Amino acid sequence: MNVADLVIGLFWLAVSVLVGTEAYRSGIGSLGSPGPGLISFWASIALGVVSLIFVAKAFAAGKPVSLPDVWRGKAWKRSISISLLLILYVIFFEILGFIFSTFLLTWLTMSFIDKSRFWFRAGVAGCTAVSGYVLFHVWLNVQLPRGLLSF
Amino acid sequence: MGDFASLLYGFSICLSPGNLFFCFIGVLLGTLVGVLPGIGPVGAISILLPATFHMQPIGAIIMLSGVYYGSMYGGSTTSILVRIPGEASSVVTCLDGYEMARKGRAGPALGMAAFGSFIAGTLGLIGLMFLSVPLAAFALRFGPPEYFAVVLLGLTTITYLTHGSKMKGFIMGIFGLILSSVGIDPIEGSARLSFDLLELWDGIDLVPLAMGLFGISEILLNSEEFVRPSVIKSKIKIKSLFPTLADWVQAKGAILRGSILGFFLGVLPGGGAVISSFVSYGIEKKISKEPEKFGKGAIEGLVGPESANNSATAGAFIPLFTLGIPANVVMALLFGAFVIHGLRPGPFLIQDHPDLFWGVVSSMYVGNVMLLLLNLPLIPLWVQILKVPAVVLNPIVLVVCMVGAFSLKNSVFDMLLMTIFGILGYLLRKFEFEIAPLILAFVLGPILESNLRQSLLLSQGDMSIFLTRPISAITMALVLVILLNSLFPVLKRVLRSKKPKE
Repeated sequence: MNVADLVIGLFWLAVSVLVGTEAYRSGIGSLGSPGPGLISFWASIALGVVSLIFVAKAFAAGKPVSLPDVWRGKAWKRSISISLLLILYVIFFEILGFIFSTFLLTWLTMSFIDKSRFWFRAGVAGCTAVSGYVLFHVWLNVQLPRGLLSF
Repeated sequence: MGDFASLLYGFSICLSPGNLFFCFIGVLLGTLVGVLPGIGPVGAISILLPATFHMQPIGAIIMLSGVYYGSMYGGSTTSILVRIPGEASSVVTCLDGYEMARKGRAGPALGMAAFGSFIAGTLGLIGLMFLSVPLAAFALRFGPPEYFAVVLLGLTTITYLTHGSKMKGFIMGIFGLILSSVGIDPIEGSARLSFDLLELWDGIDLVPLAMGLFGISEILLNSEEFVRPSVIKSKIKIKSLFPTLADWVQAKGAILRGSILGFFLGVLPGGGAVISSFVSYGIEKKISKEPEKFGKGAIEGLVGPESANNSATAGAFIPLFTLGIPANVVMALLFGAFVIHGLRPGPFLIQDHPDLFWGVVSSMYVGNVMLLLLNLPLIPLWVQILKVPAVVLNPIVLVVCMVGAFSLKNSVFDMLLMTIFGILGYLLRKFEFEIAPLILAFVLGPILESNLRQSLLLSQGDMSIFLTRPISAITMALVLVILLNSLFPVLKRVLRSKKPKE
């Protein structure tokens, strides 16, 4: 059994059920008077059919493939760490302010990717935060949050 | 106004200091992203989209177009010197370009690639100039059924031409359609697929979607593997970049063939630079008297694909400018840029905004000259830039993406949305799903939906409206042929497996 394909198929099947239900709730209408959910409803049906084919193919697969095969030999912990870091950046962006949160994001991302020298990481992170502030806030007039530390 | 007078008018627009500056920035950034492996033109344009909010529409489109065709020039540099294609359409350039460099002919390889790209780019522009106006006039005959059929054909072709599994391409296309219908319904004004989230009432913006799926996912994938490129260490002088007369004689046919082929493949939905470069390589090898030289430093194997991918970029603008239908994912992003600036590409674009159309077309001539002048002397600089470690580059790209998403509406929700799409894009690419059909379906979705609903309202629910009008009937027949063609191998496999084994 191909576990990777099975997981993919089940994921898209769940998406199709979720979208189909919501589209039906919005109203499909009729051919003469199509409703707002028409396209998304029929798209979800098509997605459901393809997902079921995926699931069937996964069961019929001769060669067993497990889910972790996709990550074998890769430094997957880095991508997970950076993903979590990005979510934390979004949460603390307005609380900590642009400069401080961007400094932390850059510094920590560099730490996850490569163990370069502390001062090098701090320098690049500082330059990125300050030059980002100048580029986006000063030149492009983007209203960046100041945060608790007021900068 | 004749084409020549219109072109002169275009030059008067694009040669204004502001537009000239944006053209320069576009081709410079394009070359840079072409040189740097990882960030291709799609990622770069999606990251740059928010930066164009405050710009004039002509300047913004000139700059973003410059990034696209500029990346085609830049991509060859890394392919020849490092054997790492800066972007997908330069993969074939590695085969013979790198071999030429290994044999001590890095200079002529780089020079020939740049000259071939320049000639092809210019020929492609001539084609764009002469074909756009009559095609736009023809497109004025299109009503909702014709538009629906053409968009459906575009979506089917793009899904059909995905590099990997057709089924995965199909899933991506459907998912793109679903995402495009999130938000307030344009006809009835009711919210749909918003899951009671007020922030989703306005729908999903192209910027966080594209930046997440391309920019963030690229960084996440890059962070998993660390490749330090080994650059060929021979010193490259400008003098050595000029090809010899023998090189020109050998390459001239390949340049011409690549230019014509690339242009027409660029016009087709799903065609574009990548496919044209591969097809060109195949043709050159097939017609060559010495096919055994291919892969060992054949100049035709280098210039054919390089010419084809540059010419394809010009061809790809035709469906966007004349029908308002993007032929590939870069054009889908440019379509987004048009919409952001309140413009609608399509048959009325040339008529209503001749300044924009002719300004952008003539800027491409200027951009091609800039690229030629820029690329040859700056090759040593690009080689140095290649040495910038990913550890520095990746966090900077992350910050640019994040602030770009925030700047859209000063909303943290867009940043969150982009992060979610980034993680989704990473997972999709891990499982070998192509992102391009998703973005194209997302952009084409609203056009498809509004034309389908208008057609059904016109015909009072009679589906035969798509088959009784000649243009839509022919187009629908083509859609059917493509669908059957993609189903045929599956059916064949099923029938073969049912046959009892002897």
